[in-house]
Amino acid sequence: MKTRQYLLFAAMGFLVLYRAFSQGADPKTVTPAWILEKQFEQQEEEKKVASAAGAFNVFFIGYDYPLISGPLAPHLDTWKSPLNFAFGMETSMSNESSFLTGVEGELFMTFNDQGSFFLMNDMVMFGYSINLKPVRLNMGLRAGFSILDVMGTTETYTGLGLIIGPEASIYLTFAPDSWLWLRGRYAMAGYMSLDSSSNPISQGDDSLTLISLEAGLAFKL
Amino acid sequence: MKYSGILLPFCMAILVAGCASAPPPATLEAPVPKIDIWPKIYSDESYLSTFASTWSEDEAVGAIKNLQNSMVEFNANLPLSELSVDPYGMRARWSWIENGTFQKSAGIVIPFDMVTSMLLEHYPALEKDYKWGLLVYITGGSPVSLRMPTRDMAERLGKAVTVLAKARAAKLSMPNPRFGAALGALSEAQAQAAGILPTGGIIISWIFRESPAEKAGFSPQDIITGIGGKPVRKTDDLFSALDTAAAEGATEIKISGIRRSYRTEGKTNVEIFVPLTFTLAIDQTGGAK
Repeated sequence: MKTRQYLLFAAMGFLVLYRAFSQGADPKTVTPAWILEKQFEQQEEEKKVASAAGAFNVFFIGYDYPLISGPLAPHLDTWKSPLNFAFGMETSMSNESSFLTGVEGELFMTFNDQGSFFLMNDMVMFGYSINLKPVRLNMGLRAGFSILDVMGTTETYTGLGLIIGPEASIYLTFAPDSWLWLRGRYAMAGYMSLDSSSNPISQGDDSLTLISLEAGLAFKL
Repeated sequence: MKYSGILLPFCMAILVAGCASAPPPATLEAPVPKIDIWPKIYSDESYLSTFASTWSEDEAVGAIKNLQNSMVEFNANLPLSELSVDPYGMRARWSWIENGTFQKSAGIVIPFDMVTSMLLEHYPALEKDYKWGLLVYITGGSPVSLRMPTRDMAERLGKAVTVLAKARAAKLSMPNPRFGAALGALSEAQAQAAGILPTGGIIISWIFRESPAEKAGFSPQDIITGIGGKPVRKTDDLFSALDTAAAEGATEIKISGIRRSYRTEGKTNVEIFVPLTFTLAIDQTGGAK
């Protein structure tokens, strides 16, 4: 009698299992791959478009206040002027915190009764941008060429040099796709004279320490 | 100072070039090319229609003539300037002006005895007004595609061509109305991906709208492996089993298949193949043709 019962239970169990595993799933419960692939593509596209649209990619222009020191600085004392500008662009890989690159030009100009003076720095920057919504903090190292040109009544010379230094900047959103920005940079520059005449650079006063304090507006590119 | 005239513009130029060539924002990456072994999914929709009617040949010819001002050739998208229809064929022309004065024209011919098949088409993605159409397959020639503003017009044209093609003893091969899908043999790659033999099933290329297959939940790219407990190795196996079941008075039949899908595992989507069981309603008035 017991054997019969066992057999009966075994047969019922087999039937239940057979029923469960021989039947395929309901088609309504399984989404076809091509529909999912469309959704994946759409999601990917939306993500990329959102990322591209939101990427921090700006043109900036602003005022630059330089604090100059170093061996060459005393020779430039007579050339202080309010005509100092900075402009350039910065690009991060996404709207979120990400790596940052950029270029910047600094232009210091003086025109007075003693002549004219130009100091121009062309620099590239590599750094990291931290999105602190609504503020963005950019930090990095900027390096490039520096050209110094003095055309005075007593001396005239041109120096070509290299400039390098760390910097940090803050961008604050004040309108859609518009920012107010502040930047501070500590840079060192070394020059060689391009003139054969005797001048401060050729005499050994060939370096400058430049602290740039900048502020201005930035606009989305 | 003698160099400054050159160096200043040079440095400015470097800066401007640097600005111009600065890295762009995160741009769209090119999609990774992949070899797609599965049937392409079309945005066009084919509707299941037998184009059955009780029209006479004269009525069919008249129906086509009445549609002259309501149809355009698929690509030309121009009204027909000429239409000539008789029980043996349909000839249409359209013309346009190029470069102001030079008149060009083109045309189509549908010899009714050479019609092999027809599809009632809907083109939802088409940015033109005439979104309904009839695709007419002809022996030894390219299919002719005519577009019309409404489904009713496209169906009327289909009915008329069917009447005249049948009258000319054309070898018509219309979709099986008991199923309603375009089917094909499995390729080696498809079979290997699904883990079955190439003779282990047939694959669906597309599903006709409003068909029993669509109502049963079939999808393009599904693989049919069996019907009523018997294996399906070719399309005839499916259709003959359907006809047999219909002849026996069955109202529905179980069809087993495999569907390609995806399962999400963490951050990745893994391709999977899921066995399915479909319940296909059998329409007693239909049948293989």
